[in-house]
Amino acid sequence: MTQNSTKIQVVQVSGRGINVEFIIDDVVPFDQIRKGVRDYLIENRGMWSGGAIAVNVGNRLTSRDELNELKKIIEAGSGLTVIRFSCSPETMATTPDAPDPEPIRPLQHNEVIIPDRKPTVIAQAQVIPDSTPVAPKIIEPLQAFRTPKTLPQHNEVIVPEPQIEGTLPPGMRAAPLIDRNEKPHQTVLPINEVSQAEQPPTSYPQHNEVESGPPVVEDDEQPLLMDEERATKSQQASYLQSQRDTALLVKSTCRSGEIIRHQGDVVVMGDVNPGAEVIATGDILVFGCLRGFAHAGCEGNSKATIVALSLGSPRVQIGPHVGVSSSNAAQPKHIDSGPLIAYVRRRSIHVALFEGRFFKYGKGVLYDG
Amino acid sequence: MTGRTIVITSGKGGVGKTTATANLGTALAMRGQKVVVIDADIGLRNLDVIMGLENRIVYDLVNVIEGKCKMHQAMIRDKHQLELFLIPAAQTRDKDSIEPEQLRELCEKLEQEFDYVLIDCPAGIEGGFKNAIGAAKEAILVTTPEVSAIRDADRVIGLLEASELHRPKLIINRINTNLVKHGDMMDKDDIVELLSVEILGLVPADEHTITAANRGVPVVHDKKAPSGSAFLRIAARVDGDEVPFMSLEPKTSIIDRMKGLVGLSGRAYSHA
Repeated sequence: MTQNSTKIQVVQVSGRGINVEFIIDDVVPFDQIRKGVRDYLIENRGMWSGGAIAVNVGNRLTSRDELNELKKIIEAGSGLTVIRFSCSPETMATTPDAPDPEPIRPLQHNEVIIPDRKPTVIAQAQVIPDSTPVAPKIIEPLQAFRTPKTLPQHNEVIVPEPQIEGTLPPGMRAAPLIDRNEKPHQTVLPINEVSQAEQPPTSYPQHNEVESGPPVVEDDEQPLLMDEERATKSQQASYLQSQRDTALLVKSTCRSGEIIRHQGDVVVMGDVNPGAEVIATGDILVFGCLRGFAHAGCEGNSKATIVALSLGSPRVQIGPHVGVSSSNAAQPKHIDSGPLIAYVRRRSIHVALFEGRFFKYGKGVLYDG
Repeated sequence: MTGRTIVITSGKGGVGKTTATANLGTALAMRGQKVVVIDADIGLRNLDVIMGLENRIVYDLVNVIEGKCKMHQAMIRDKHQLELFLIPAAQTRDKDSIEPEQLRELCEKLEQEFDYVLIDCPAGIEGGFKNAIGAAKEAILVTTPEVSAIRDADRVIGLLEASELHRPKLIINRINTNLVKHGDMMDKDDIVELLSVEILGLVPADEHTITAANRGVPVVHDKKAPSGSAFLRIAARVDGDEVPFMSLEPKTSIIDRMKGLVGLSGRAYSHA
């Protein structure tokens, strides 16, 4: 992001890929911004002839009303359509719209702090006025979540649907982001990424101190999934309910002393070493060896599962149920190959070969000493 | 000249950080590099003893940092290697006597004059550790094939990465090849798989190391010691040479096997 590079002018234009972006100076007071943006648009009246524009407010803490005002100014002054707002990562934690303004405490070393379940922070709002027809082009930013070529900054958030959020400003409605019938893959959930590579340069000096970006709020696909699955089992429905929270992707090995807490599911692309802890309200999926402590469904969801390529954890927990590995061998002999799933059956934790998340698992191997 | 500042650390105590520092420093100096080793274990200094320079200490690290003496006054030249210097730790002070920035400044000055600045890190992950790693640009991790040492090493790797010392290199010290052969000790592959770091070398358990330390002559001077040659190879790898890893199989000459049969198996050490 280049939000810090604008000091002279209030508005700077930058092109990122095919998207054009207004970068708004984040130092001068908002009143000057208002005037500056108007002046800028008048000055460059000939430059714009309609189209989509994104607005980057940099480090500024802008409220929803201010964003709306900015949007109106830009749209009135230029004929452009504002499709998106974005800001720099450190703004996220302190945006006034956040429901419970928890003071930013200094991060414990290696702790992954996950913001609250319902992210109401406007980082990248996707709002479309009533009159605007929903053109495919406008859908693009969301679809970008699924294509690697334009991975989102990890601080970007889609403003949730009204049924989730319910507080969109008057005169606007959230656009139906995805046409249900045309959606190609419905099971892909947006995933927030936490990795060394994607750490915002200005955020925190220590790379393990990752604060996961606010979870991407579900779009329309979730209710659709619900519709499909509701017919089958209520158990799955409750699981899907928990899927409303988003997944956290950890792209490195979790080493001893690191704690990953997340509201939602956690995917670790690496090992979880002894002494590390992964605690999630949803499922835990480890593409590697799970040797540390894992607690899935930590808010009491016994339907959560833990999946790992190899399970050598001395202790795992699902909801309130605790499983202890056998003291001599890391795992029972006859299930030592292939990915394993740990699940709760009759109030104790069983382990079986993984055969799909909704496979009806019977009696596995008891994970109990 | 811009040298490399390397911290030698482990987390757990007693795994051989100081021995590794002394031997690596000596081995690099034997390769013709200009080396300075800094003992950052303030209050529990050992490096001078291992290198046999205890009775030459006049000024120490804290004196330099506090400006009580010049940098060169505190540098003790090694007995054997002309291009190897030691900056000893203060024994009468504690780890809080210096700040990470001060040590970093000192190391940056030393980098101008030397090819290698090796910092012997104290055990633990507290202030002394933070001082030592704050000054370094690279890290070498020493561990032994024990579960506790590896657990600590894992934690330390996390902390090193947190302070921008990515990709530390691993030395596995005190490998007992007989135990590994019988499956009673973790072998190199187990450890590397768990820690997922690049391995720099393996040092076999060797009593030459202990006798050499007691005499104050680093074991790399001992041509017969397998651990000494292991440290020479590690130094070559640090220096950028491609040195193949030696087989870890215990020596199985006929005489050794005969000795084993009659229960006389002495030192069945191997090269690593």
